[in-house]
Amino acid sequence: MGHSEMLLAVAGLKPGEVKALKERLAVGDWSDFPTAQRTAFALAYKLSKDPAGFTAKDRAALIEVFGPERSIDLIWYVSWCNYMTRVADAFQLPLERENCFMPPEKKDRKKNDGGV
Amino acid sequence: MTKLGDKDALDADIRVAAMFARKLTLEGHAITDAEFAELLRIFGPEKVTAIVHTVAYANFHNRVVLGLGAAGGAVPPVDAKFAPEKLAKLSTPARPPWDDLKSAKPGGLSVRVDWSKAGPNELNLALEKQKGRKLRIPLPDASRIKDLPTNERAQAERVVWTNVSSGYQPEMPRRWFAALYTYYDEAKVDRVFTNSVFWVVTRTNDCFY
Repeated sequence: MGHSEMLLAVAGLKPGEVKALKERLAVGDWSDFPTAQRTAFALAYKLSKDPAGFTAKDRAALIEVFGPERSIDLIWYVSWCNYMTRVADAFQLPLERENCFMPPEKKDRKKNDGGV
Repeated sequence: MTKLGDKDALDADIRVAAMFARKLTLEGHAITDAEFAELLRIFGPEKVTAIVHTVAYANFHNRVVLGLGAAGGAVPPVDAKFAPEKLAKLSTPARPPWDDLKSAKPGGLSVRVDWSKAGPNELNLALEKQKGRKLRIPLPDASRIKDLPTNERAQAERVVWTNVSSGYQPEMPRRWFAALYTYYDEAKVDRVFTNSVFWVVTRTNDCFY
């Protein structure tokens, strides 16, 4: 798992759910996702790939779905993600073999649950 | 500033740093071990860590500005002082319940992605390979981690990102994560939703993260 996948597990998804979500996201066609997710993924793509190409029309479409406060939240978060990837790419950090974000008590519970 | 646009006018060490900043911004995944080693040879691990975090911050900041559509030229810094007791009394604008988004009407944004061709299997193989990747910068001496505050030390012992960053430049990640925790506290986002967004960013940037 990469860190974004580890964090999906920490957020509550089971391993099979993380795998299924990743496979859906990896298609790159998010038309079968609900409007909010499709819009947020498109924002993530546009603001990461070509931030100067993010237009007033794009912004208006974002706000139409999320409202002003949550639109700012998402813009901030996508920007935050771009910070994190710059640091990871620069150092070429080796990935941890275990989920390094999972709190110890959850790890123990997982063991008791047979790894689910 | 004018010199930065003309790499031949820069001193050799600044030129290496400027070229690194440009490549980290545009295609960080393509930086080679040799390019990083050159930066490390010139500046050493503390300064290199500061350079990396500064470039990362610029990538964050630019996207916030462009995302919000903030207009106008550069302005000088405002001479403002913030009183913590006054800041503590400020209330955050309430967000609608996250579940409201389930009923969002059709519309919004769509894109046609232009990603490298790797499918899920190739992506998984790349992640496995990354587990055995040799770090480009020596890990900080254990004594630096030992001296960190308890929470930071615990995270640095588990997460390589934090180990390197907090080991060489503890103030930079400290402020950075303080901003993140404030964000979570105020925005109250759905973490599956936002971490799915994080996945899309990593894929778009061709980053293993």
